[in-house]
Amino acid sequence: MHAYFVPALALGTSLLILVLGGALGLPLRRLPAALGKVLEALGLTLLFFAANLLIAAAVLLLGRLVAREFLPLYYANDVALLVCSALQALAFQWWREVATGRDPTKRR
Amino acid sequence: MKTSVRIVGLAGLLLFAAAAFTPLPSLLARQLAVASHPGPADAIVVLGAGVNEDGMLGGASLRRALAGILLHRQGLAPLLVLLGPSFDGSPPEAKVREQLARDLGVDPGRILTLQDAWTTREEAQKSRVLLAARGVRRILLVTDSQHLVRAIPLFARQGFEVLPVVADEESDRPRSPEGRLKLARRVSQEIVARAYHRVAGYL
Repeated sequence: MHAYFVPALALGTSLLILVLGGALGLPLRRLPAALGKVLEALGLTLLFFAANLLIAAAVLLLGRLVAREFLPLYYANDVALLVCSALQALAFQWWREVATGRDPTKRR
Repeated sequence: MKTSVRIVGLAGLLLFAAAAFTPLPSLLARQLAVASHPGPADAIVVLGAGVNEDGMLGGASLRRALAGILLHRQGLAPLLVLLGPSFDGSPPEAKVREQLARDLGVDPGRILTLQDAWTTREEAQKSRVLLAARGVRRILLVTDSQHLVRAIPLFARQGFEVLPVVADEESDRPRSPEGRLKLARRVSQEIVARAYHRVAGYL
Protein backbone atom coordinates (compact mmCIF):
# COMPACT_ATOMS: atom_id res chain seq x y z
CA MET A 1 0.00 0.00 0.00
CA HIS A 2 2.76 2.42 1.08
CA ALA A 3 4.67 1.87 -2.18
CA TYR A 4 1.68 2.82 -4.33
CA PHE A 5 0.16 5.65 -2.28
CA VAL A 6 2.31 8.53 -3.58
CA PRO A 7 2.25 7.56 -7.30
CA ALA A 8 -1.52 6.96 -7.11
CA LEU A 9 -2.04 10.30 -5.37
CA ALA A 10 0.16 12.11 -7.94
CA LEU A 11 -1.78 10.49 -10.77
CA GLY A 12 -5.10 11.51 -9.22
CA THR A 13 -4.10 15.13 -8.56
CA SER A 14 -2.59 15.34 -12.08
CA LEU A 15 -6.02 14.42 -13.48
CA LEU A 16 -7.58 17.10 -11.28
CA ILE A 17 -5.09 19.65 -12.64
CA LEU A 18 -6.09 18.56 -16.16
CA VAL A 19 -9.74 19.23 -15.30
CA LEU A 20 -8.84 22.57 -13.69
CA GLY A 21 -6.86 23.58 -16.79
CA GLY A 22 -9.86 22.74 -18.97
CA ALA A 23 -12.14 24.78 -16.71
CA LEU A 24 -9.79 27.75 -17.04
CA GLY A 25 -9.98 27.46 -20.82
CA LEU A 26 -6.48 26.08 -21.42
CA PRO A 27 -6.44 24.15 -24.72
CA LEU A 28 -5.63 20.44 -24.32
CA ARG A 29 -3.70 20.43 -27.63
CA ARG A 30 -1.06 22.72 -26.01
CA LEU A 31 -0.39 20.23 -23.20
CA PRO A 32 2.33 18.25 -25.10
CA ALA A 33 4.23 21.51 -25.67
CA ALA A 34 3.98 22.28 -21.94
CA LEU A 35 5.23 18.80 -21.06
CA GLY A 36 8.10 19.36 -23.47
CA LYS A 37 9.03 22.46 -21.45
CA VAL A 38 8.92 20.36 -18.27
CA LEU A 39 11.37 17.87 -19.81
CA GLU A 40 13.55 20.78 -20.87
CA ALA A 41 13.62 22.17 -17.32
CA LEU A 42 14.34 18.72 -15.94
CA GLY A 43 17.14 18.14 -18.47
CA LEU A 44 18.70 21.51 -17.65
CA THR A 45 18.45 20.70 -13.94
CA LEU A 46 20.34 17.44 -14.45
CA LEU A 47 22.99 19.10 -16.61
CA PHE A 48 23.48 21.92 -14.09
CA PHE A 49 23.55 19.37 -11.26
CA ALA A 50 26.27 17.35 -13.01
CA ALA A 51 28.26 20.53 -13.61
CA ASN A 52 27.82 21.63 -9.98
CA LEU A 53 28.97 18.22 -8.75
CA LEU A 54 32.07 18.24 -10.95
CA ILE A 55 32.96 21.79 -9.92
CA ALA A 56 32.35 20.93 -6.24
CA ALA A 57 34.67 17.91 -6.48
CA ALA A 58 37.36 19.98 -8.22
CA VAL A 59 37.07 22.79 -5.62
CA LEU A 60 37.28 20.32 -2.71
CA LEU A 61 40.26 18.46 -4.18
CA LEU A 62 42.05 21.74 -4.92
CA GLY A 63 41.06 23.03 -1.48
CA ARG A 64 42.86 20.07 0.10
CA LEU A 65 46.07 21.18 -1.59
CA VAL A 66 45.68 24.88 -0.79
CA ALA A 67 44.26 24.68 2.75
CA ARG A 68 46.41 21.64 3.63
CA GLU A 69 43.51 20.10 5.48
CA PHE A 70 41.14 17.32 4.57
CA LEU A 71 37.97 18.46 2.82
CA PRO A 72 35.66 15.45 2.33
CA LEU A 73 34.03 14.94 -1.06
CA TYR A 74 30.89 14.22 0.98
CA TYR A 75 30.44 18.00 1.34
CA ALA A 76 29.10 17.92 -2.23
CA ASN A 77 26.74 15.07 -1.39
CA ASP A 78 23.86 17.31 -0.32
CA VAL A 79 20.26 17.43 -1.55
CA ALA A 80 20.41 21.23 -1.35
CA LEU A 81 22.77 21.17 -4.36
CA LEU A 82 20.05 19.47 -6.42
CA VAL A 83 17.49 22.10 -5.36
CA CYS A 84 19.95 24.91 -6.20
CA SER A 85 20.57 23.29 -9.60
CA ALA A 86 16.81 23.18 -10.24
CA LEU A 87 16.52 26.88 -9.41
CA GLN A 88 19.48 27.68 -11.68
CA ALA A 89 17.88 25.66 -14.48
CA LEU A 90 14.51 27.40 -14.12
CA ALA A 91 16.13 30.84 -14.04
CA PHE A 92 18.24 29.97 -17.10
CA GLN A 93 15.28 28.56 -19.02
CA TRP A 94 13.11 31.60 -18.31
CA TRP A 95 15.99 33.95 -19.11
CA ARG A 96 16.27 32.25 -22.51
CA GLU A 97 12.51 32.40 -23.07
CA VAL A 98 12.32 36.10 -22.16
CA ALA A 99 15.43 37.00 -24.15
CA THR A 100 14.11 35.32 -27.31
CA GLY A 101 10.72 37.04 -26.97
CA ARG A 102 8.83 33.82 -26.22
CA ASP A 103 7.62 34.94 -22.83
CA PRO A 104 4.02 33.63 -22.73
CA THR A 105 3.08 36.19 -20.07
CA LYS A 106 3.71 38.98 -22.61
CA ARG A 107 1.40 37.52 -25.21
CA ARG A 108 -1.58 37.83 -22.90
CA MET B 1 20.15 21.51 -28.48
CA LYS B 2 16.60 21.72 -27.14
CA THR B 3 15.95 18.11 -28.22
CA SER B 4 19.12 16.86 -26.49
CA VAL B 5 18.14 18.65 -23.28
CA ARG B 6 14.66 17.12 -23.47
CA ILE B 7 16.17 13.65 -23.96
CA VAL B 8 18.29 14.19 -20.84
CA GLY B 9 15.15 15.31 -19.03
CA LEU B 10 13.21 12.25 -20.17
CA ALA B 11 16.05 9.95 -19.11
CA GLY B 12 16.10 11.67 -15.72
CA LEU B 13 12.34 11.30 -15.37
CA LEU B 14 12.45 7.59 -16.23
CA LEU B 15 15.36 7.06 -13.83
CA PHE B 16 13.46 8.86 -11.07
CA ALA B 17 10.34 6.74 -11.68
CA ALA B 18 12.37 3.52 -11.67
CA ALA B 19 14.21 4.52 -8.48
CA ALA B 20 11.17 5.77 -6.56
CA PHE B 21 8.37 3.48 -7.72
CA THR B 22 9.98 0.14 -8.57
CA PRO B 23 12.17 -2.31 -6.59
CA LEU B 24 15.18 -1.47 -8.82
CA PRO B 25 17.22 0.13 -5.96
CA SER B 26 16.72 -2.99 -3.82
CA LEU B 27 17.82 -5.27 -6.66
CA LEU B 28 20.92 -3.15 -7.27
CA ALA B 29 21.72 -2.89 -3.56
CA ARG B 30 21.53 -6.66 -3.10
CA GLN B 31 23.69 -7.24 -6.20
CA LEU B 32 26.37 -4.83 -5.00
CA ALA B 33 26.39 -5.70 -1.29
CA VAL B 34 28.42 -8.03 0.92
CA ALA B 35 26.83 -10.31 3.53
CA SER B 36 28.03 -10.83 7.12
CA HIS B 37 30.42 -13.68 7.88
CA PRO B 38 31.30 -13.23 11.56
CA GLY B 39 33.72 -15.57 13.33
CA PRO B 40 36.53 -15.55 15.85
CA ALA B 41 39.17 -12.88 15.09
CA ASP B 42 42.04 -10.92 16.67
CA ALA B 43 40.22 -7.56 16.60
CA ILE B 44 36.96 -5.87 15.71
CA VAL B 45 37.49 -2.80 13.50
CA VAL B 46 34.54 -0.40 13.38
CA LEU B 47 34.80 2.11 10.53
CA GLY B 48 33.85 5.77 10.97
CA ALA B 49 30.59 7.25 9.70
CA GLY B 50 30.27 10.72 11.23
CA VAL B 51 29.47 12.64 14.40
CA ASN B 52 27.45 15.86 14.79
CA GLU B 53 28.92 19.17 15.97
CA ASP B 54 27.39 18.60 19.42
CA GLY B 55 29.06 15.19 19.77
CA MET B 56 26.02 13.09 18.90
CA LEU B 57 26.86 10.03 16.81
CA GLY B 58 25.14 9.86 13.43
CA GLY B 59 22.71 6.98 12.86
CA ALA B 60 25.17 4.94 10.80
CA SER B 61 27.98 5.57 13.27
CA LEU B 62 25.85 4.46 16.22
CA ARG B 63 24.69 1.28 14.46
CA ARG B 64 28.24 0.33 13.52
CA ALA B 65 29.52 1.04 17.04
CA LEU B 66 26.74 -1.03 18.62
CA ALA B 67 27.41 -3.90 16.20
CA GLY B 68 31.11 -3.80 17.17
CA ILE B 69 30.32 -3.69 20.89
CA LEU B 70 27.93 -6.66 20.54
CA LEU B 71 30.56 -8.69 18.69
CA HIS B 72 33.01 -7.89 21.49
CA ARG B 73 30.49 -8.83 24.17
CA GLN B 74 29.92 -12.13 22.31
CA GLY B 75 33.64 -12.81 22.74
CA LEU B 76 34.47 -12.96 19.02
CA ALA B 77 37.63 -10.84 19.43
CA PRO B 78 39.62 -9.44 22.36
CA LEU B 79 40.22 -5.96 20.89
CA LEU B 80 37.66 -3.35 19.86
CA VAL B 81 39.05 -0.71 17.48
CA LEU B 82 36.84 2.37 17.09
CA LEU B 83 37.56 4.82 14.31
CA GLY B 84 36.40 8.31 13.38
CA PRO B 85 37.87 11.81 13.29
CA SER B 86 36.49 15.14 14.44
CA PHE B 87 34.18 16.97 11.99
CA ASP B 88 33.93 20.78 11.94
CA GLY B 89 34.84 21.23 15.59
CA SER B 90 32.97 18.18 16.90
CA PRO B 91 34.59 15.87 19.43
CA PRO B 92 36.37 12.97 17.69
CA GLU B 93 33.88 10.30 16.64
CA ALA B 94 36.23 7.57 17.93
CA LYS B 95 36.25 9.14 21.42
CA VAL B 96 32.44 9.44 21.54
CA ARG B 97 32.20 5.78 20.53
CA GLU B 98 34.82 4.82 23.12
CA GLN B 99 32.71 6.44 25.85
CA LEU B 100 29.65 4.57 24.59
CA ALA B 101 31.56 1.27 24.67
CA ARG B 102 32.75 1.96 28.22
CA ASP B 103 29.23 2.86 29.31
CA LEU B 104 28.02 -0.42 27.85
CA GLY B 105 30.54 -2.37 29.87
CA VAL B 106 33.51 -2.91 27.54
CA ASP B 107 36.82 -3.06 29.44
CA PRO B 108 38.67 0.23 28.62
CA GLY B 109 41.90 -1.74 28.31
CA ARG B 110 40.40 -3.60 25.32
CA ILE B 111 39.46 -0.47 23.37
CA LEU B 112 41.72 1.20 20.82
CA THR B 113 40.82 4.41 18.96
CA LEU B 114 41.95 5.98 15.68
CA GLN B 115 41.03 9.64 15.28
CA ASP B 116 43.07 10.82 12.32
CA ALA B 117 41.90 8.66 9.41
CA TRP B 118 39.67 10.56 6.99
CA THR B 119 39.05 8.05 4.21
CA THR B 120 38.48 4.30 4.08
CA ARG B 121 41.95 3.91 2.58
CA GLU B 122 43.50 5.89 5.44
CA GLU B 123 41.49 3.85 7.92
CA ALA B 124 43.00 0.67 6.45
CA GLN B 125 46.56 2.08 6.42
CA LYS B 126 46.41 3.49 9.94
CA SER B 127 44.71 0.37 11.31
CA ARG B 128 47.66 -1.65 10.04
CA VAL B 129 50.13 0.68 11.84
CA LEU B 130 48.07 0.46 15.04
CA LEU B 131 47.43 -3.28 14.94
CA ALA B 132 50.56 -4.77 13.34
CA ALA B 133 52.56 -4.30 16.56
CA ARG B 134 49.86 -6.23 18.45
CA GLY B 135 50.07 -9.17 16.06
CA VAL B 136 46.56 -8.65 14.74
CA ARG B 137 45.92 -10.33 11.40
CA ARG B 138 42.33 -11.53 11.34
CA ILE B 139 39.74 -8.80 11.81
CA LEU B 140 35.99 -8.44 11.96
CA LEU B 141 35.34 -5.38 9.78
CA VAL B 142 32.15 -3.52 10.67
CA THR B 143 30.49 -1.11 8.25
CA ASP B 144 27.47 -1.02 5.93
CA SER B 145 26.88 -3.69 3.28
CA GLN B 146 27.65 -1.37 0.35
CA HIS B 147 30.77 0.13 1.90
CA LEU B 148 32.16 -3.33 2.70
CA VAL B 149 32.69 -4.09 -1.01
CA ARG B 150 35.26 -1.27 -1.13
CA ALA B 151 36.55 -1.61 2.43
CA ILE B 152 37.38 -5.35 2.27
CA PRO B 153 40.02 -5.10 -0.52
CA LEU B 154 41.48 -1.93 1.03
CA PHE B 155 42.04 -3.75 4.35
CA ALA B 156 43.16 -6.96 2.60
CA ARG B 157 45.81 -4.90 0.80
CA GLN B 158 47.19 -3.98 4.21
CA GLY B 159 47.65 -7.65 5.03
CA PHE B 160 44.49 -8.24 7.06
CA GLU B 161 42.30 -11.30 6.74
CA VAL B 162 38.84 -9.75 6.74
CA LEU B 163 35.60 -11.18 8.12
CA PRO B 164 32.82 -8.78 7.07
CA VAL B 165 30.06 -7.71 9.45
CA VAL B 166 27.15 -5.70 8.08
CA ALA B 167 25.69 -2.81 10.10
CA ASP B 168 23.22 -1.13 7.76
CA GLU B 169 21.39 2.04 8.64
CA GLU B 170 18.59 1.45 6.16
CA SER B 171 16.78 -1.63 4.92
CA ASP B 172 17.67 -2.90 1.44
CA ARG B 173 13.95 -3.52 0.90
CA PRO B 174 12.34 -0.13 1.54
CA ARG B 175 8.64 0.16 0.68
CA SER B 176 8.17 3.92 0.54
CA PRO B 177 9.27 5.93 -2.52
CA GLU B 178 11.42 8.11 -0.25
CA GLY B 179 13.11 5.03 1.23
CA ARG B 180 13.80 3.72 -2.27
CA LEU B 181 15.26 7.08 -3.32
CA LYS B 182 17.51 7.09 -0.24
CA LEU B 183 18.73 3.59 -1.06
CA ALA B 184 19.27 4.54 -4.72
CA ARG B 185 21.32 7.53 -3.57
CA ARG B 186 23.40 5.34 -1.24
CA VAL B 187 24.04 2.77 -4.00
CA SER B 188 24.94 5.45 -6.57
CA GLN B 189 27.28 7.12 -4.08
CA GLU B 190 29.09 3.83 -3.50
CA ILE B 191 29.30 3.10 -7.26
CA VAL B 192 30.96 6.51 -7.79
CA ALA B 193 33.32 5.90 -4.84
CA ARG B 194 34.33 2.51 -6.25
CA ALA B 195 34.97 4.03 -9.68
CA TYR B 196 37.08 6.80 -8.08
CA HIS B 197 39.12 4.22 -6.14
CA ARG B 198 39.69 2.15 -9.30
CA VAL B 199 40.77 5.18 -11.35
CA ALA B 200 43.10 6.30 -8.55
CA GLY B 201 44.56 2.77 -8.34
CA TYR B 202 43.48 2.18 -4.72
CA LEU B 203 41.56 -1.02 -5.56
